[in-house]
Amino acid sequence: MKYTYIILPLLCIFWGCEDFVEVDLPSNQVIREDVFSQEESVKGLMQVMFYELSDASYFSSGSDGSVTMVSGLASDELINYSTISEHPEFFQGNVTTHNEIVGRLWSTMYSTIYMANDMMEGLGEPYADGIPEELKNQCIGEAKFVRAFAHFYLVNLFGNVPLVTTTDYHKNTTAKRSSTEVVYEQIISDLEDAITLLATGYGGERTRPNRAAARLLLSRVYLYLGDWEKAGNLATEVISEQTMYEIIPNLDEVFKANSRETVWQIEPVGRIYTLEGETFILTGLPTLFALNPELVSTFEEGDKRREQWIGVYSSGPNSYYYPYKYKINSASEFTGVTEYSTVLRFAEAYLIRAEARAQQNNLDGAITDLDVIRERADVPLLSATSPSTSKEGLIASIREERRKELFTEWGHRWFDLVRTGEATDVLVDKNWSIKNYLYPIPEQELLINPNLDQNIGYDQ
Amino acid sequence: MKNTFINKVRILLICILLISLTLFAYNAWGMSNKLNYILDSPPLGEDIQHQVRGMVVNTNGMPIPGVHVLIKDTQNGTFTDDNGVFTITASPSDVLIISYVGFQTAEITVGSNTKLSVVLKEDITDLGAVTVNAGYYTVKERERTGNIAKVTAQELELQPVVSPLQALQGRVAGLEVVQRTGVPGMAPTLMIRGQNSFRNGFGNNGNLPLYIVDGVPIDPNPIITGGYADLSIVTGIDPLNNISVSNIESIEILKDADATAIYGSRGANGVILVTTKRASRAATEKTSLDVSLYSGLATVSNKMELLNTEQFLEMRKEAFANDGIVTYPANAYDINGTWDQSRYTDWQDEFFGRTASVTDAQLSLSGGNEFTAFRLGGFYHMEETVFPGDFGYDRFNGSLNVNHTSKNRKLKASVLVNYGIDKNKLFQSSTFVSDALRLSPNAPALYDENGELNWENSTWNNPFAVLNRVQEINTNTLNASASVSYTIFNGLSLKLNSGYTKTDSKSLSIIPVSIYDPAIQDSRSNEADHSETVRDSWIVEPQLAYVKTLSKANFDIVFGGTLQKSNSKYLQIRSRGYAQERFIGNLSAADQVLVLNVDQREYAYSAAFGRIGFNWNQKYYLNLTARRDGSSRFGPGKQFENFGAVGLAWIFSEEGGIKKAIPFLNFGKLRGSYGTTGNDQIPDYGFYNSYQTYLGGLISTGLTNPNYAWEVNKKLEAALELGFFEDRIHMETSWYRNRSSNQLVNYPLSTVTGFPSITANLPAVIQNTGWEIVLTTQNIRQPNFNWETSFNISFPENKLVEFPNIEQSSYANRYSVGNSLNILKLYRYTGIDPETGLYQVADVNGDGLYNIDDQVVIQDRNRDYYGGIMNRLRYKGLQLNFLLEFVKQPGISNAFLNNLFPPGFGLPFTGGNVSSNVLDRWQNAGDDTNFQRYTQSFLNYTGYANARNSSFAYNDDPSFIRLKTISLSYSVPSKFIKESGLSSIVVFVHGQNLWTWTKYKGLDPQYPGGSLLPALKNITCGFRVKF
Repeated sequence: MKYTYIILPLLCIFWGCEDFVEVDLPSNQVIREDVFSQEESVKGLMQVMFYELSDASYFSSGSDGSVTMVSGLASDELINYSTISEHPEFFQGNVTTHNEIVGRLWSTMYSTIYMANDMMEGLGEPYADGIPEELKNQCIGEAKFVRAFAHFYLVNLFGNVPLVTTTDYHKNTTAKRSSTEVVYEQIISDLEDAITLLATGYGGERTRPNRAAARLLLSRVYLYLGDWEKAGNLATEVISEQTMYEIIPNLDEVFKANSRETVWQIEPVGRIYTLEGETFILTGLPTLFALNPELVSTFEEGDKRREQWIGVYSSGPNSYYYPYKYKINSASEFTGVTEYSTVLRFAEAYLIRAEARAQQNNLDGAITDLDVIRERADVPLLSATSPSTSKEGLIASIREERRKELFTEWGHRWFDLVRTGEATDVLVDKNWSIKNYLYPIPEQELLINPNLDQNIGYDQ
Repeated sequence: MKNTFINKVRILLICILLISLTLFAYNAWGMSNKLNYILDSPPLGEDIQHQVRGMVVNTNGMPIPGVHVLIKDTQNGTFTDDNGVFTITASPSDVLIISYVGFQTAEITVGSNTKLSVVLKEDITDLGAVTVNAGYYTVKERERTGNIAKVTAQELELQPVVSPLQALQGRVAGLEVVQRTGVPGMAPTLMIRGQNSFRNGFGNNGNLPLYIVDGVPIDPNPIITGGYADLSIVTGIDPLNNISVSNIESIEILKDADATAIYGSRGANGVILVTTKRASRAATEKTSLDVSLYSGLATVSNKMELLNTEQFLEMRKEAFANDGIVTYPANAYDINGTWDQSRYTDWQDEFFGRTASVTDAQLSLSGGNEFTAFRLGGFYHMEETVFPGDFGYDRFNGSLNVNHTSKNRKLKASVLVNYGIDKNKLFQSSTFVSDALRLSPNAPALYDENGELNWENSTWNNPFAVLNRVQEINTNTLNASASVSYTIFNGLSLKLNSGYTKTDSKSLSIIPVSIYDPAIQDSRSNEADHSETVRDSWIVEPQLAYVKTLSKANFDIVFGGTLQKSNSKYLQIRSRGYAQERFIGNLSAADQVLVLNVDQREYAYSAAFGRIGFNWNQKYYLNLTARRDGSSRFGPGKQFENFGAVGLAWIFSEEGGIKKAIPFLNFGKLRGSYGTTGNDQIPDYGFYNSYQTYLGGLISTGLTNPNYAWEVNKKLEAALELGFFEDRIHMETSWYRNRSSNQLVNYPLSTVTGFPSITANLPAVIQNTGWEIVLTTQNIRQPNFNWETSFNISFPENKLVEFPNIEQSSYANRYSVGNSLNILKLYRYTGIDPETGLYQVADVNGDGLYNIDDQVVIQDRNRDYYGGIMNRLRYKGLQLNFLLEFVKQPGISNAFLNNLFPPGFGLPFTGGNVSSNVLDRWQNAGDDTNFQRYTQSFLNYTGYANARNSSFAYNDDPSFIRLKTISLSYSVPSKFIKESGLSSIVVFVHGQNLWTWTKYKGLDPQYPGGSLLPALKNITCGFRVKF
């Protein structure tokens, strides 16, 4: 046939086109094998895991739905002015199962856990064999720390929760809730591993957890579990690192990036200020939250924390207080990033050890620790005013000190009220009932995973 | 590497193919030229040629321009001029074939006449002449086996709309077009025969049809322009904006398997073929210039009735009194004395009450000779917005078409190029319209006496501040296609179609500090958001076509292949810290520049397709279509799939027995089709387990499932077409059933997995069935008066037929087997508590809680039926056309529109105004009313939210009838303009959305429940002149 020479190429172009439809990945993507076989990309993956804590991870970002904010509302720290329907629910103690903030707290904690698990699994693959041991230890140590960190907030906010140690979605999407004991066992084991794997120093900025960070978090875990001895010992190990850390005399410097009080901070991403600063600092009438005037009034005369950590916005006869630990609330001028969001700081180690010591009847030791904090605040030392207070009185003073020192930081107040049972009295006017100890499992999660059940007191 | 090498080889092969084709063609052409020369030389001894001059008129004696006059068995021919006159050289034995679309063809022997007068009779059954574009082939309307609807230029060109898609509203059975906002340039939602896929989200929509413009596929996904929050983010920019409506020759909508299976994996949701105007046959006779211009005014089609100040303040005070509050809170500015309580402003008027102007101009020049014709067009369209400030849309298009035919008519080539530049200037706010509805009627003045934004001592967020957040979207679109065909021998031809399209859309959004209250401006920074979307795509489609007649058997065969590659890129940048407002947007003046997103995608597609059309004696028709498709969106082993369809038709009116039995039946056809089409509308690269760059590091792209495959849509259709009384009544009734299975979904996962979903095939079946009726009647057919009505109506039904284990799946609460996909599960409303005056819903299971288990009322949100009635009336040169669009759709409450909070709430900064029908609220125990008592307490919020999600909130009827378009035109009789050298002048007035009949109290019933800008109503007038 004379037309064969036209038809033949036609056929061979269009029938043998199997690989025409195989496209290369775009320049901004790389396959898993290539990520875990190269040092730089492993580092890049690890870096983003921490960026995400500031950016995508709602619970840790300092945004108006972060742990800091909602537990501040739920406890007696913040007054709600927000009209976003979720905020009043926290403030009034009637969080519903479809509260979107609860849903986002839950999902972002688990997406953090996914990244940690993915790192650990990837480094365990044969193609990661070439990654130096030192980098592997650091990455696995950090991943374990982060996994424990997220599980810690999950178990404290939701009670029994799915314990996730794999990236296998087949398993995870139908995971059952594990008891708090089992979750805590994993948290403790992860943090113990992290303590051995992580270095004592920081490879630069204090934005990556080191051994002291793992110890301080584990010390807090034992405090919450009432294991006073272990809590005290771990706190002691942190406190002993006096060359690295100090209780900074000037309160205005505490939340500065890489301050010597910092044990671990989260660097804001895509912003040159912290979201805590943006959310809290009032430049007009409050549209989200203001500090509870009742909290403001509990500070003693001359307490520097009252002066330096609390701001006020006045409009006519009305005054609105706000937490002023972070001083910068927007990019008014480009000054570089001067503040980071502080998660763990040195002062907490003293407060934990004070409580552990008091519980173990070492009252003098407890007073010494507590006075480290009081001294900086420039309020009378307990060793001078009431050196022979009772154990109960001392524990009450420690709680009060925690309230004033750690206010609007990472839900300390809320978790203290809950773990000690004081919430029943303190939050009585927020319709306190048994259900308020925990948030509801998000409705959407219950719909998707039939193996989940709801917390007591909430819609099933 | 291997891949690019093979691609290069392939491109090389294509080039070789092209070159060989050209050479071959050149050869053949050259030869036949000689042949022609021999034939053209004067025949010796034959009768002598002479010039014949003739005039062609219709039965009313009106001359018909553009009639084709051809000497039988030759290539010699001509066209009549504007006075219906032709001149041709012919011999006395020659027979002239005189033909024109819509008229019966006449044959006249020249004889010794030098002057001829020809009367052409109108062809009553002009179905025989009308052809429809089926994409890879054309069929006569009379003979089609599939369901293809055609909308012609006549129906489209006067409509003052930006998007051609919007102009289709109400015109086509089975096509649902919803224009969600009246902001020009925004994409409408569009569905052909219902929802076939669960994936219905913005950016991942599996229900978009395939758009093909002059043979080049266009990505149907709306263009996202980025920015913090903007008007365009609600709907996205329509990707077809840059095609001028007045440059469209026709739009064909392909619906059933027979019509769409040749598009294989992309045909599941139907196909929309847009054909732009080309050089017409008549252009080859005379160079002509066509100029038209119109201009007009537009306003919003509707506003809501809201409370006035007196009623509003009464509501607020009553709300506080009802809740037992005596002292108004410090932030209740509207009633605590802070704001002037005697002020009243109609905020809707201030926010979107402006009258906008619309201007459109077009100019086209066409000409050529028998072998080469061209058409050059230029188009301009400008629309202001009804918002305050200097915002609007304008567009310029240029188009060029050149067609060439070799002397022996064997080689044909054509090139079409369309280039469009448009600019859409908007401001960023997705709530501007809803703000106008909510704002307290006694809120302060917008501007102070100096013309500056008034912040009323920081007691409100001035809603007009957002007007300073200007967003400018500039889009350039190139659409080019070329086609070469060569007839190898009689009946067999080789064709190569190729095309290239590129869209480049840039958006700049500025956020100056002046949008903030001066009290906080110091703490803010001048910022800008920049984004750019670039999409390009090339396609090459060689085809071989063969037409053959063997006694009564007619074959029409096409085989071909497709190679297509598409790229899309998206870049998003944020910049901050500009020292002055006027620098905003100039990146070099920014303190900080952040690249927020760089996205890049490639899509490759290849296919082989074929069509065999067969008919016996133009009575029995068989149409077989098939396609083998490969797509890069699927993983190894899943890339290829076959699709195909069978179409059958029987023109039973050709049977002798029926002709005798039913003499008034002039046309009767029964047709049916069955076949499969696929859907590959899923994001690219989904099957790779990969990581992407992010903030200088890497992040996972999500959970991966390498095993997913195509969604398959099996379509079945049966139809009956009848024509009575010489087609004065023509009716087409179709029934269809489309079943879409192997559903590709973002299957929701528990977020415990770290992600909300994974792409997977779900063993679910979605069924769309329906009836479509199209009825065209010639009510009056007089020489001077003509009235034609065409009516279309569609009764769609959408149903989830199968979903194994739905109870255990994450879809359990969103869908239910046996119901449509578009359902709401609602609480059962039980009325207002006579004691408390608050809404109540039923706690069905009596557990004291209100949750999904109590949401027992299922409401189907799909339309019950919809359609349009088009009327065309012509009296001499006067023509009146109007289209009524009607939609019957399920209920939505008039009472709950826009009110997230119960009536009585007055939220600081946003206000709390409501629809005025709440005046009939509960006031005293025992009141029987539909509206609960006024309240402002959060304690009553949940009960109200439940009622908003109850059967009560969906009980008023938002169905509507709308006078979609109406136009009156007058064509100046040719005797008045003969002298001037013009060939026609038409003046016209056109109205759009002028009148709507509905019980719905919200803004626009076509998008009930929405609070975006309602469709605009406009009146334009203009003229069209042809030289």
